[in-house]
Amino acid sequence: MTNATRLVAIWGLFAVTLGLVAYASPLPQRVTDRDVYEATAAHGVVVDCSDIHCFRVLVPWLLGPLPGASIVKWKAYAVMANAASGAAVFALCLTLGFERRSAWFASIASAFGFGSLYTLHDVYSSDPLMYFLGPFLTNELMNGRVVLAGMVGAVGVLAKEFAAAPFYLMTWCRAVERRWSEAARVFVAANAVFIVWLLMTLTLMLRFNYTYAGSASADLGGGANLVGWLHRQSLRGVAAAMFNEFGVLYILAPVGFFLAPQRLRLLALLSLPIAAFFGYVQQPDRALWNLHFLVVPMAALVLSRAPTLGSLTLAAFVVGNLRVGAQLPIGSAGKTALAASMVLGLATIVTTFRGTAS
Amino acid sequence: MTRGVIAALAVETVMLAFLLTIAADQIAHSHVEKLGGVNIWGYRGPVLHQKKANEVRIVVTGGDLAFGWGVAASEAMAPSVRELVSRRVDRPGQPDRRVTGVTAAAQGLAPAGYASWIDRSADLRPDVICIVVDPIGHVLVQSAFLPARHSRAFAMFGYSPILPLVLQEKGTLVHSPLLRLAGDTLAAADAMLGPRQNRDAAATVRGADYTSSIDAAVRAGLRSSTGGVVVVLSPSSDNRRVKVEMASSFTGERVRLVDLGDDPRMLAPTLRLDGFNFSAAGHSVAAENVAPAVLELIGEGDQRTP
Repeated sequence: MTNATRLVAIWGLFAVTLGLVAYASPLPQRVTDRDVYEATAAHGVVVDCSDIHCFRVLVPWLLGPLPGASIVKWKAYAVMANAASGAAVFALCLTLGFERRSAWFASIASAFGFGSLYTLHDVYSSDPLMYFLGPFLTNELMNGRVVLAGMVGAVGVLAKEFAAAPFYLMTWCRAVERRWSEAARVFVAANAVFIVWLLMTLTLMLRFNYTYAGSASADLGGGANLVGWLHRQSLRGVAAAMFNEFGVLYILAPVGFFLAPQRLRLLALLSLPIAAFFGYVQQPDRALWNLHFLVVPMAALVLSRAPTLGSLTLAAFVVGNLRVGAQLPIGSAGKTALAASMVLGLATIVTTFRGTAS
Repeated sequence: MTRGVIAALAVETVMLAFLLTIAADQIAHSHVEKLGGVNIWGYRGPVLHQKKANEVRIVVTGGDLAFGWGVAASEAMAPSVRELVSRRVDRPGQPDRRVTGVTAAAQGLAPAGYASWIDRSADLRPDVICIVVDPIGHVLVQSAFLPARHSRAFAMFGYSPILPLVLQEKGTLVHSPLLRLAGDTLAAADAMLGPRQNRDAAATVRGADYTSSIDAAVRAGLRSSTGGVVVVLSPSSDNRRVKVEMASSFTGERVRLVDLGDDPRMLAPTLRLDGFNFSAAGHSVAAENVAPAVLELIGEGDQRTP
């Protein structure tokens, strides 16, 4: 099986499984960004819009003209993008020099992580596309396909500004590695993507009176979305939301950091300012999943060292996310699975260290 | 590094500098448009939304007196007129109507320039235009950015930059020579690109073409508005000649004349900030004089519309 065929097979497998989850996932019983995205899909441009989601035009522009019910189209998009995200993480892991088993662990954790499954519940979002573009663009840039990455990034940034982040991350990475020529090439691509985003944003603002007035994200000096989010939540709510985001990955990834190849370690360290920035301007419990493609591979390195325990940990992690992410009505089974994933994760770490020591 | 990469980086640097300056200018506008500044299209207050079908839009235009130096956008004459008119037209049991008021005046604009300025403001789709006329003998304010009428961006796109002014003033406030220099540099670049102007010309409102200027402004107002024009004369001047000529010129037309000098309250020095510009209270009292004329024109417009 060639790499391309394998990636397509992984994508197909994930798409079918995620499709079933999406089908079973209930619709949110609260106000979401659905109206904004549907208005953009229907009108193309929503004049005088002051919602940040109005600026994220690509997905509604692509889905709007397609036939079928809105919810079906958006669920299908979320399924396909998240499945592609799993396949892209698999490819990225191979590029980083992972064994195939570790790559499998990483891709499953990506496709069935909290962020991905949550977007199967609340589908009106540009996030699934970003979850795919993060690992895809990073992998393309690592393989030197800067022009292709630049073109995809220039289109992707019309969906969400995060699409520019992998370019600056890789620029910094190449610069730290003192590969100046490559750093310069990636920097050119990063700036091109950023310019496309600026042009689109300014055009929407000047021509159609779009503003960020209704969005706390733009209030950089006033705490952005982070402060408002912290105020709206109880301490317990904040803790629960942050725990749900990565769950057992919080304990696996730091251990995996020491097992990871140097480049992944470097990327993880260099991504911290990006994580801090997006955690500040967006809701941190969702924003940080954009960098799943760096967290999950590190965790996968630990899981793959103790395959049986690792598989059980991953299974418990996925079941837990079916509850907290996809919001499937599986009651206490989800909470039990989350708790079990933590215990199993600790056991996996202990086993990994024992194996390393012996 | 290849030449191509270096060239691309150079081009991108220029583009980014340009785009980020526009972005910074927009941020600067968002900070000052509700206070003493103007928005990106050169009028006071936030940019207006698209006009709704049930909306009545009142535009107050003119020069220094209409601009309302020293008061916030929400304290100028237009919002006060809007408030008074809204109370009358948006009543329970009547069709839902939304009234908006906007100050689209320009500091330093001589009466001779009112007509072309009103033509420019036609995009606002006003129902009623109130032309507040600066008195004869008034020394016009030399203002480069409120709005930036002489900027190339304004001439080409109607975009009124304000970042140079904000940087200059912020630099002075926080004693930062660097900010002042940045502001001065941008202002110099803007002046270099902009159309040449004779800064000494029209420094004072002259009596020679005063009435004909108002006449042209009213004609422009009638072209741009659906409801009509209210001419508002300053309380600190002898308006008898203007009133006579206006009365003969616009008999039977959708034009109303309000002489603020007819209201003794308007002569009180306490309603002025600096001997010329109205305080918030001054704008409010002036609006009480203007609102009945605006209501009359709106009422006539309603009668014309089936």
